[in-house]
Amino acid sequence: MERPTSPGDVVKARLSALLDRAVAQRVPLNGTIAMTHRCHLRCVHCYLGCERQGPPADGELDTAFWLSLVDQVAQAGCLELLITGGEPLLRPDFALVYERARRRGILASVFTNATLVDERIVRLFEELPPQLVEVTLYGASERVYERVTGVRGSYRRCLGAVDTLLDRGVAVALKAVILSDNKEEVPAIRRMAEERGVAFRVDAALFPCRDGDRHPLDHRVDAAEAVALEMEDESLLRRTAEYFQQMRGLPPETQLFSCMAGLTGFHVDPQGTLLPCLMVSTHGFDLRRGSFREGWDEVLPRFREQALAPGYECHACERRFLCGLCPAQAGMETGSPHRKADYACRLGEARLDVVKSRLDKSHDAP
Amino acid sequence: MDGAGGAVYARREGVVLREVAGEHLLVPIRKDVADLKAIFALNGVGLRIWELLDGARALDGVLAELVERFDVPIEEASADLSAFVDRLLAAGLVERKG
Repeated sequence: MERPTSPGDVVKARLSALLDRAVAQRVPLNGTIAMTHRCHLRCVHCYLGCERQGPPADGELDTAFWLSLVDQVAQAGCLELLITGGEPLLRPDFALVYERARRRGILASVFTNATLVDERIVRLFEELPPQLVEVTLYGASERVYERVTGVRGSYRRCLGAVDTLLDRGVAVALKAVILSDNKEEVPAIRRMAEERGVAFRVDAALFPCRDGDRHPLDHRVDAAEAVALEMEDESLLRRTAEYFQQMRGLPPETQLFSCMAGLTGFHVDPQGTLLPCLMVSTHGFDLRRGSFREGWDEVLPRFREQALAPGYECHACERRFLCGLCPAQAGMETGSPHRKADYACRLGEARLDVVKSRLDKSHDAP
Repeated sequence: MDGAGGAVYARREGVVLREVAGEHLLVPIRKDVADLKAIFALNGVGLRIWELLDGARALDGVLAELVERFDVPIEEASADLSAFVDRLLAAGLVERKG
């Protein structure tokens, strides 16, 4: 008889093996769902643009669809599910779908602006805790936060909800998007996260709207300045340098997509389209007309088969491990996933500079 | 089993057994159950023990089933069963019923 458990069977070692097997067997281990693209905030940089303002029934699917989807993805092996949006709490059936996911043994996380968190949601998260509730702070001050969101009162509602969730023991992480509108306050936002003892990350990536409107890009910060802000986090700099050291010798990729999209990852949009990831709009499968299994097995594999176009520059570039290389994001910006996005390239250059300087310093150390 | 063979254990309600990529996982879903970050991965023996901890069967009965099914010396099976149940108990995944 083998031992019922072996040392190290609790979590990490086994989950790492699980991930390897999921990749080898193409198991949809990690997914995201957006039950709505609506949002009551009007953030200046949001890539959802006009979609945020649609009427409630505008192509969105009913509760039965989402409950069935959760059952199907659980059956297919989904372990981690991120419920995002739009603002997911605008859906009156958010709690039902979230609860179904948790009761199926799915580790659910939620991206929310937190301004709609009420006692009912707090109790739900207390009873069936999420892995994480991630909230973006658009500013450290009310003035800057609401300059970004365009909604008076949103700052107080957001922070009130964050503190209530933390008081009640819910796992919360904070995030800042680096914008020309809030860059001066990013260090103060970081301090707000530190004071609360929660994980924090910054994000410099902005995209054009899905309808092609390039307005969000007006809010970008110079790439070097954005990288300086993100690398104020010493542990991020260390991890980035280690990652770069580990990856830099790898041979060039031979396929366009080398990430987990469509391999272990999937996304379902508010209209029920199964996609390889949140950023991809091609290779979709209409889940109103077929099952998750059909879409996963028959349509998404084609996404993985896309070859590199002649002249593609990024697959052999040293900076690809630092620029956040994503052909789908590049496609949103340039019109083709085979074309490099200049801003991402500049972020890669700036990160390479700080990483190399870090590595030089560590070599010089006695 | 050091005199604890008559003890009865039951799976706790807030724990979900999942099969993911061929691995059997115990996923705690409620705050009052276990450490939410602790996911147990079970092999075939662990899975059978989990199934047998039904709140009715004493550990002696579980042991007898293991010895018969896995063709293993009783002393070895007893030690493994005892250690495994202790771990499940410590993780809050099972509770003692009697």
